[in-house]
Amino acid sequence: MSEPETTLRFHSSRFGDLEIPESKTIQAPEGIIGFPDITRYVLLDPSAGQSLFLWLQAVDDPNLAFILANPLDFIPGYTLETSEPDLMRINISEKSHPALFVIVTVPQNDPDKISANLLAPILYFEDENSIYQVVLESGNWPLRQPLLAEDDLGSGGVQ
Amino acid sequence: MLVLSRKKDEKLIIGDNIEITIVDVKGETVKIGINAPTEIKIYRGELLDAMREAATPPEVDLGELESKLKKKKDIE
Repeated sequence: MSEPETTLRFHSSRFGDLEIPESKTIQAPEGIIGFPDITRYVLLDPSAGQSLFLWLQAVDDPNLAFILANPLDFIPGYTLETSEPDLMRINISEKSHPALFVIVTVPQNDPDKISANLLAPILYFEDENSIYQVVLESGNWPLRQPLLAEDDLGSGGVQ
Repeated sequence: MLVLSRKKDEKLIIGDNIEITIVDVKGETVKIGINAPTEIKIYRGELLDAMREAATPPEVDLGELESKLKKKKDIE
């Protein structure tokens, strides 16, 4: 006999009232950079797999949400060096292989300047439902990698 | 803001256990060494700025952005 699963009810300013099985919540033991005290998140995929983006919504702060993307959709060759100090700090060698996400920033006044933070990606350890953000010191990855170049923003004519 | 002048190899001490050393100065670049307890998180300022900006995405049409991104992917 399994226990009935606990449902977590919380509010998101973007997605309204949410009900998520507690087992789906993700722990960020170290928080996210700039938000060290917010440690419970959920991954939301409002498009059910159709979108390039996922949302990392904080459980305990309705306004806090990050747009995540799979870096390999945009940046071929984006990899983590296992010698990165931050990867050693989180004992990555003792964990399962993580899914890798980058945080996407959409500027309020100029959404076409959408960029991805390749310097500080998110590692998602699905088997333990945890995420860690690491800062990559050795790869010279940019903090704001533009995802759309000027050429992509024209009227759509054939180049 | 407290402003102090330091030369190469000179140090600053903050509190009881944070030590900052000016390791090198070349042109407009200053190389800084920091000794601090591991529980003290140290980030470049622009990383925190970027994280705060990313933390509250604006209410813009992501679908439109995505179709531009997907179009770009298809071309590549």
